[in-house]
Amino acid sequence: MSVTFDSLLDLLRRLPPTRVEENVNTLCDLAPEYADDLLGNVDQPLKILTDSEKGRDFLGCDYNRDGDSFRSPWSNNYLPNSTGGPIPSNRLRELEISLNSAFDTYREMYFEGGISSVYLWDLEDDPGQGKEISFAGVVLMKKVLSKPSSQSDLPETTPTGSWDSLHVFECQERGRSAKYKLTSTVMLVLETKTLAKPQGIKNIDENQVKGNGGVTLSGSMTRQAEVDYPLTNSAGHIPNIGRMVEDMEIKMRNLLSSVYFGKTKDVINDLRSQSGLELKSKEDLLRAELAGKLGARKA
Amino acid sequence: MAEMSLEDKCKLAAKFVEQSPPGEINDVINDIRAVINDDNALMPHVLQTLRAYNLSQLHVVDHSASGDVPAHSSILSEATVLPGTEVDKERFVDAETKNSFVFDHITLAVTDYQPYELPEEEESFRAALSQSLAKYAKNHFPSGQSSVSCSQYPLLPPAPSAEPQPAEAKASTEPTPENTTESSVEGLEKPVTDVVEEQVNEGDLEPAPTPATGDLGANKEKDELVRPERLDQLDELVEEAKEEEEAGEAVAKGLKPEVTEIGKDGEEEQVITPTQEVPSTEGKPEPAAPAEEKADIVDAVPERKQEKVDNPTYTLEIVGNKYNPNNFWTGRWRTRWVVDQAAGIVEGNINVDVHYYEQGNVQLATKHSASFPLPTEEVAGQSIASQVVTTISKIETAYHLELNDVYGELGDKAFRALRRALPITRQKMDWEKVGGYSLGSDLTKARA
Repeated sequence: MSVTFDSLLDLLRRLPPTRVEENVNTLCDLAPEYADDLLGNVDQPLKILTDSEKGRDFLGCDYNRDGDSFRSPWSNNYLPNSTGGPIPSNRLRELEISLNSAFDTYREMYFEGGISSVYLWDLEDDPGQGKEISFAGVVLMKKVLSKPSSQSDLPETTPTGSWDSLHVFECQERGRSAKYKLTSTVMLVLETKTLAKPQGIKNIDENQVKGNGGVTLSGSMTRQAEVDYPLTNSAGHIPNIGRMVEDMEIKMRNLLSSVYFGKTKDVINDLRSQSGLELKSKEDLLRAELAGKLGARKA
Repeated sequence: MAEMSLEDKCKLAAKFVEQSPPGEINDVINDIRAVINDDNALMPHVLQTLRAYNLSQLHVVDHSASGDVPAHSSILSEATVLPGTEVDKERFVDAETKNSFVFDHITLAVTDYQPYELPEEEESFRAALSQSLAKYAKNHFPSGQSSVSCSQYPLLPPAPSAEPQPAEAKASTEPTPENTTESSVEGLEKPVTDVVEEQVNEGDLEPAPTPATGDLGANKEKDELVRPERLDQLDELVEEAKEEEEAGEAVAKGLKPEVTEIGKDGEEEQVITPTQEVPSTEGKPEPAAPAEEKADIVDAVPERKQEKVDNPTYTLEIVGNKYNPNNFWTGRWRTRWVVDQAAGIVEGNINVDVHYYEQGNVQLATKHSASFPLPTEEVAGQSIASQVVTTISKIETAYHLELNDVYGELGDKAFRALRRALPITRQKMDWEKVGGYSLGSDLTKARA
């Protein structure tokens, strides 16, 4: 890849994940020659679209897009305009229908709401001829936590947020097994309000101290994996892909909640000392002194 | 679709500067330089957005030692712009050493020091606030820099004819942090010091007994400060110009491993030598204002009218930076409080930004506004300035506590509401039993 393209990607790794859509659009204007590469390489929040014929929402991303239209997994049609864009071979479309149904169950169990969509596409020029097939696909999950309405009993500080995950995979059947290559991206935004009511201020009525603000914690991360699973028949792809995506999503969710968010919290406490640095250095001294005495006793 | 003009592209690209995470401004600017690939066209636009970025992010300026004044730092912000210089040649105030200076946002060069003096009434309140705030910042921000500025116009220097210039220039460069605070505060000064120790610490969870030794000079310890981002890799010319200036800081620099890392990172990146004109280095920092400069001022302002605003505001600012690019994280805590005597109110904003980017891009961005009534009189020996800082420290401590709680709220509840760690059955999916098998068996048939 060129120096310019590396710089475009470096920029997007540094700028706020909450503004990735807007920033990708700007970069496409600045470097139109890389627009396709950018759109293909940088994951963006999934679009929520409606298949009114089937009465269901579905998700849009670069993999089911043709111009301004997106293929619905429910009707197999491009919406809102039928573009005659690519559709999977019959055999793959049947697997796609099964995967959509399986991941619908998965979505309900893990997300308790939200929207899921699965898209497959053929990797062979002449699909359906050979016994062993190779294909690719993407599993999409999205959930949005909206602001509670003003009538609701929920407190003002109830958090809001969104989860977007894309699991792009390639599959190569090999005799009685199949090789899967997976690239997963999770994009997460969590937001809440702050009030910061201090206590114990002399001479000032605490009610006269006003405060309000917001906290936004956002992140995107990408991981890759390669697995070989046994495959006895075509239906075997469903548990194989299912397990692979499930394991990866569990791993990434744990990484985000413990490592990534935990780290930003640590940095806050590095920036400002809650108890005061003078107290801390005294405690450290005391601790060292105690340790020294204990050590002396043992000896 | 017609492609955008170069001018429009530069404007658009320069806007990315404002989104830069703490301590990564050089990386962001180098990226957009590579994208635009025309420094002559780009840098004038970057200069504008970079100035805005430096002011809003409370950029810390390092001043090398000069005469009796030790090496120290000051903050750039809207509040430290010298009143009256906004339109023409912008100058910034270093209130602690009573100087103003010109700052080049691209090269980070500090030039043309000139004396700055507030009327005594404003300076005494400013100095009292500054002393209290510095103590609070020192105790709570490991790499904190604090600043208190007043929106009042500075006193005009005496007419050139009235006093020989050298004497005046000399007098103006002498103030050290100590005599800045002691000179004018008189009887107020001692109670402030004593009370501040206790009161500021009362804002903490557990009161910290503090030795009453800290003076303002101690806050300026260079090795406490993580150096701000520099654009010094911009080109070699600038590097050369700065070498002399930095020589005096070499020792302090050696104590800061993070700083060296930043420098290394910068050097590794491809540097495109800009053909743009580089500001000349003739204006080396000099304690005394050049005589011609002074003459210019006199020429430009024939009537030496002392401007004055009623009820000037006082702005209290703290910035704490920590950059650790080797471990892929950077962070910044900013606070800005404005004391408005006319409205009888103190209003503040707190912003915390953290970036963690090891194999990912995770960012925390917070913004919090708060206000409280301005105390009107000394209470139990505690001055107004000290009461203001005490309340600020309590609000910031409450906010810091709340931020830590927010992680519990967001990390547990909100995160679980988005996606559970495991299904309610506490077991992973049984993919063999999931629906859709009728179609699956059809597939088997089709395959056979």
